[in-house]
Amino acid sequence: MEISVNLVLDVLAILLMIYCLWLVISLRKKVSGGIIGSKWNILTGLVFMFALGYSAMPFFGQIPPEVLRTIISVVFVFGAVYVLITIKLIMNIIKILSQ
Amino acid sequence: MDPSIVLRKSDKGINELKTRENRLSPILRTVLILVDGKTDVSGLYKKVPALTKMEESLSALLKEGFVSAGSDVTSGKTVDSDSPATRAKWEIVEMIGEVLGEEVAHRATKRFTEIPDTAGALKQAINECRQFIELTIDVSKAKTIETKGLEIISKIK
Repeated sequence: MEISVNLVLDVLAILLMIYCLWLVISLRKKVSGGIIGSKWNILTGLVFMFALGYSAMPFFGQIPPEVLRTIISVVFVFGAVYVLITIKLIMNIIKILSQ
Repeated sequence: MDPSIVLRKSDKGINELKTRENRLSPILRTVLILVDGKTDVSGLYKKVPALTKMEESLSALLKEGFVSAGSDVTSGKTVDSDSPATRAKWEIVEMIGEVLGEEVAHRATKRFTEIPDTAGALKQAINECRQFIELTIDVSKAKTIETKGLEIISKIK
Protein backbone atom coordinates (compact mmCIF):
# COMPACT_ATOMS: atom_id res chain seq x y z
CA MET A 1 0.00 0.00 0.00
CA GLU A 2 1.39 3.36 -1.01
CA ILE A 3 1.55 5.86 1.85
CA SER A 4 0.72 9.32 0.58
CA VAL A 5 0.09 12.62 2.30
CA ASN A 6 -3.61 12.18 1.50
CA LEU A 7 -3.73 8.79 3.19
CA VAL A 8 -2.04 10.14 6.31
CA LEU A 9 -4.50 13.04 6.46
CA ASP A 10 -7.43 10.67 5.92
CA VAL A 11 -6.32 8.39 8.76
CA LEU A 12 -5.76 11.40 11.02
CA ALA A 13 -9.24 12.75 10.20
CA ILE A 14 -10.85 9.34 10.90
CA LEU A 15 -9.03 9.01 14.23
CA LEU A 16 -10.03 12.53 15.25
CA MET A 17 -13.67 11.90 14.32
CA ILE A 18 -13.72 8.62 16.29
CA TYR A 19 -12.36 10.55 19.29
CA CYS A 20 -15.11 13.18 18.78
CA LEU A 21 -17.69 10.39 18.70
CA TRP A 22 -16.37 8.99 21.97
CA LEU A 23 -16.43 12.49 23.54
CA VAL A 24 -19.95 13.30 22.41
CA ILE A 25 -21.31 9.96 23.65
CA SER A 26 -19.55 10.14 27.03
CA LEU A 27 -20.77 13.71 27.59
CA ARG A 28 -24.39 12.70 26.96
CA LYS A 29 -24.66 11.23 30.47
CA LYS A 30 -23.75 14.60 31.97
CA VAL A 31 -26.24 16.59 29.93
CA SER A 32 -29.46 14.66 30.33
CA GLY A 33 -31.69 17.61 29.47
CA GLY A 34 -31.91 21.37 29.53
CA ILE A 35 -30.83 23.62 26.70
CA ILE A 36 -27.62 21.70 25.97
CA GLY A 37 -29.23 18.29 26.44
CA SER A 38 -32.01 19.06 23.95
CA LYS A 39 -29.41 19.72 21.21
CA TRP A 40 -26.97 17.04 22.25
CA ASN A 41 -28.85 14.17 20.61
CA ILE A 42 -28.78 15.99 17.26
CA LEU A 43 -25.07 16.72 17.63
CA THR A 44 -24.44 13.08 18.57
CA GLY A 45 -26.32 11.92 15.47
CA LEU A 46 -24.35 14.28 13.25
CA VAL A 47 -20.99 13.25 14.71
CA PHE A 48 -21.99 9.60 14.25
CA MET A 49 -22.83 10.31 10.62
CA PHE A 50 -19.56 12.17 10.06
CA ALA A 51 -17.62 9.31 11.68
CA LEU A 52 -19.27 6.87 9.26
CA GLY A 53 -18.57 9.15 6.30
CA TYR A 54 -14.96 9.71 7.31
CA SER A 55 -14.43 5.97 7.77
CA ALA A 56 -15.53 5.47 4.16
CA MET A 57 -12.92 7.94 2.90
CA PRO A 58 -10.29 5.30 1.95
CA PHE A 59 -12.88 3.78 -0.42
CA PHE A 60 -13.85 7.01 -2.14
CA GLY A 61 -11.62 6.11 -5.10
CA GLN A 62 -13.91 3.20 -5.93
CA ILE A 63 -17.07 5.31 -5.92
CA PRO A 64 -18.39 6.76 -9.22
CA PRO A 65 -17.65 10.53 -9.44
CA GLU A 66 -21.36 11.50 -9.55
CA VAL A 67 -22.15 9.58 -6.37
CA LEU A 68 -19.03 10.99 -4.72
CA ARG A 69 -20.10 14.56 -5.52
CA THR A 70 -23.51 13.88 -3.98
CA ILE A 71 -21.91 12.43 -0.85
CA ILE A 72 -19.63 15.47 -0.51
CA SER A 73 -22.60 17.83 -0.95
CA VAL A 74 -24.56 15.98 1.73
CA VAL A 75 -21.56 16.16 4.08
CA PHE A 76 -21.29 19.91 3.39
CA VAL A 77 -24.97 20.46 4.21
CA PHE A 78 -24.84 18.49 7.45
CA GLY A 79 -21.53 20.16 8.30
CA ALA A 80 -23.26 23.53 7.99
CA VAL A 81 -26.16 22.26 10.13
CA TYR A 82 -23.66 21.13 12.77
CA VAL A 83 -21.94 24.52 12.80
CA LEU A 84 -25.31 26.32 12.97
CA ILE A 85 -26.49 24.24 15.96
CA THR A 86 -23.16 24.71 17.74
CA ILE A 87 -23.17 28.49 17.25
CA LYS A 88 -26.80 28.81 18.41
CA LEU A 89 -26.02 26.65 21.41
CA ILE A 90 -23.07 28.84 22.34
CA MET A 91 -25.27 31.93 21.92
CA ASN A 92 -27.87 30.44 24.30
CA ILE A 93 -25.22 29.47 26.83
CA ILE A 94 -23.78 33.00 26.79
CA LYS A 95 -27.31 34.42 27.17
CA ILE A 96 -28.04 32.25 30.21
CA LEU A 97 -24.67 32.84 31.84
CA SER A 98 -25.05 36.58 31.46
CA GLN A 99 -28.42 36.65 33.26
CA MET B 1 -37.52 11.44 74.53
CA ASP B 2 -37.41 14.38 76.89
CA PRO B 3 -39.25 17.22 75.11
CA SER B 4 -36.99 19.83 76.72
CA ILE B 5 -33.81 18.43 75.17
CA VAL B 6 -32.09 20.67 72.66
CA LEU B 7 -30.35 18.82 69.88
CA ARG B 8 -27.77 20.04 67.44
CA LYS B 9 -26.31 18.68 64.26
CA SER B 10 -23.10 16.74 64.78
CA ASP B 11 -20.18 17.02 62.38
CA LYS B 12 -21.48 13.81 60.81
CA GLY B 13 -24.91 15.40 60.40
CA ILE B 14 -23.50 18.57 58.82
CA ASN B 15 -21.39 16.46 56.50
CA GLU B 16 -24.42 14.35 55.57
CA LEU B 17 -26.35 17.45 54.53
CA LYS B 18 -23.46 18.47 52.31
CA THR B 19 -22.65 15.12 50.76
CA ARG B 20 -25.75 12.87 51.09
CA GLU B 21 -23.21 10.15 51.71
CA ASN B 22 -25.51 8.01 53.88
CA ARG B 23 -28.57 8.52 51.68
CA LEU B 24 -30.94 9.35 54.54
CA SER B 25 -34.65 8.98 53.84
CA PRO B 26 -36.47 12.23 53.02
CA ILE B 27 -38.11 12.27 56.48
CA LEU B 28 -34.82 11.80 58.33
CA ARG B 29 -33.17 14.43 56.16
CA THR B 30 -35.99 16.90 56.82
CA VAL B 31 -35.76 16.32 60.57
CA LEU B 32 -31.98 16.69 60.42
CA ILE B 33 -32.42 20.05 58.70
CA LEU B 34 -34.92 21.16 61.35
CA VAL B 35 -32.50 20.41 64.18
CA ASP B 36 -30.87 23.78 64.73
CA GLY B 37 -29.22 23.66 68.13
CA LYS B 38 -31.75 26.17 69.48
CA THR B 39 -35.17 24.57 69.33
CA ASP B 40 -35.98 21.90 71.87
CA VAL B 41 -37.71 18.66 70.91
CA SER B 42 -41.17 19.97 71.74
CA GLY B 43 -40.45 22.99 69.53
CA LEU B 44 -39.47 20.69 66.68
CA TYR B 45 -42.85 18.90 67.00
CA LYS B 46 -44.58 22.26 66.69
CA LYS B 47 -42.58 23.22 63.62
CA VAL B 48 -43.97 20.33 61.62
CA PRO B 49 -47.11 19.03 63.36
CA ALA B 50 -47.91 16.84 60.38
CA LEU B 51 -44.69 14.90 60.80
CA THR B 52 -45.89 11.97 62.89
CA LYS B 53 -42.55 10.20 63.02
CA MET B 54 -40.63 13.05 64.62
CA GLU B 55 -39.64 11.20 67.80
CA GLU B 56 -38.76 8.05 65.91
CA SER B 57 -36.71 10.09 63.44
CA LEU B 58 -34.89 12.04 66.15
CA SER B 59 -34.06 8.81 67.96
CA ALA B 60 -32.71 7.31 64.74
CA LEU B 61 -30.62 10.40 64.05
CA LEU B 62 -29.29 10.37 67.62
CA LYS B 63 -28.50 6.68 67.44
CA GLU B 64 -26.65 7.07 64.16
CA GLY B 65 -24.76 10.12 65.41
CA PHE B 66 -26.20 12.68 63.00
CA VAL B 67 -27.41 14.80 65.91
CA SER B 68 -26.13 15.11 69.42
CA ALA B 69 -27.02 16.70 72.71
CA GLY B 70 -24.52 19.14 74.19
CA SER B 71 -23.22 18.79 77.76
CA ASP B 72 -25.38 21.69 78.93
CA VAL B 73 -28.50 20.46 77.18
CA THR B 74 -30.44 19.88 80.35
CA SER B 75 -30.19 23.56 81.19
CA GLY B 76 -31.75 24.39 77.91
CA LYS B 77 -28.64 26.14 76.66
CA THR B 78 -27.22 25.34 73.30
CA VAL B 79 -23.70 24.38 72.42
CA ASP B 80 -23.97 25.39 68.82
CA SER B 81 -26.69 26.81 66.68
CA ASP B 82 -27.37 27.27 63.00
CA SER B 83 -27.71 30.79 61.76
CA PRO B 84 -30.83 31.67 59.72
CA ALA B 85 -28.67 31.69 56.59
CA THR B 86 -27.32 28.23 57.39
CA ARG B 87 -30.85 26.91 57.87
CA ALA B 88 -31.90 28.59 54.63
CA LYS B 89 -28.99 26.92 52.87
CA TRP B 90 -30.06 23.44 53.98
CA GLU B 91 -33.67 24.22 53.14
CA ILE B 92 -32.58 25.18 49.62
CA VAL B 93 -30.49 22.02 49.24
CA GLU B 94 -33.49 19.99 50.42
CA MET B 95 -35.85 21.80 48.06
CA ILE B 96 -33.52 21.15 45.10
CA GLY B 97 -33.50 17.46 46.05
CA GLU B 98 -37.29 17.40 46.03
CA VAL B 99 -37.57 19.15 42.66
CA LEU B 100 -34.83 17.27 40.82
CA GLY B 101 -34.79 13.95 42.65
CA GLU B 102 -31.93 12.70 44.81
CA GLU B 103 -29.95 11.15 41.96
CA VAL B 104 -29.58 14.34 39.97
CA ALA B 105 -29.68 16.87 42.83
CA HIS B 106 -26.15 16.27 44.12
CA ARG B 107 -24.79 17.56 40.80
CA ALA B 108 -26.62 20.83 41.29
CA THR B 109 -26.06 21.33 45.01
CA LYS B 110 -22.28 20.88 45.20
CA ARG B 111 -21.83 24.65 45.04
CA PHE B 112 -23.82 25.15 48.24
CA THR B 113 -21.26 23.21 50.27
CA GLU B 114 -18.51 25.63 49.30
CA ILE B 115 -20.13 29.00 49.97
CA PRO B 116 -20.25 31.08 53.15
CA ASP B 117 -23.59 31.22 54.97
CA THR B 118 -24.75 34.64 53.90
CA ALA B 119 -27.83 35.79 51.98
CA GLY B 120 -25.65 37.29 49.23
CA ALA B 121 -23.66 34.09 48.74
CA LEU B 122 -26.88 32.06 48.71
CA LYS B 123 -28.40 34.31 46.04
CA GLN B 124 -25.27 33.94 43.95
CA ALA B 125 -25.31 30.14 44.41
CA ILE B 126 -29.00 29.97 43.49
CA ASN B 127 -28.28 31.87 40.29
CA GLU B 128 -25.39 29.56 39.40
CA CYS B 129 -27.49 26.55 40.26
CA ARG B 130 -30.34 27.82 38.04
CA GLN B 131 -27.91 28.33 35.16
CA PHE B 132 -26.47 24.85 35.54
CA ILE B 133 -29.90 23.21 35.71
CA GLU B 134 -31.26 25.26 32.81
CA LEU B 135 -28.32 24.26 30.63
CA THR B 136 -27.96 20.60 31.51
CA ILE B 137 -31.05 19.25 33.30
CA ASP B 138 -34.41 20.95 32.79
CA VAL B 139 -35.41 24.49 31.86
CA SER B 140 -38.72 24.64 33.77
CA LYS B 141 -37.29 22.98 36.91
CA ALA B 142 -34.49 25.57 36.85
CA LYS B 143 -37.03 28.38 37.06
CA THR B 144 -38.97 26.61 39.84
CA ILE B 145 -35.80 26.17 41.87
CA GLU B 146 -34.81 29.80 41.40
CA THR B 147 -38.24 31.06 42.50
CA LYS B 148 -38.43 28.78 45.55
CA GLY B 149 -34.79 29.44 46.46
CA LEU B 150 -35.22 33.21 46.41
CA GLU B 151 -38.38 32.78 48.49
CA ILE B 152 -36.40 30.87 51.13
CA ILE B 153 -33.61 33.47 51.09
CA SER B 154 -36.09 36.32 51.48
CA LYS B 155 -37.15 34.83 54.82
CA ILE B 156 -33.68 35.32 56.30
CA LYS B 157 -33.84 38.13 58.82
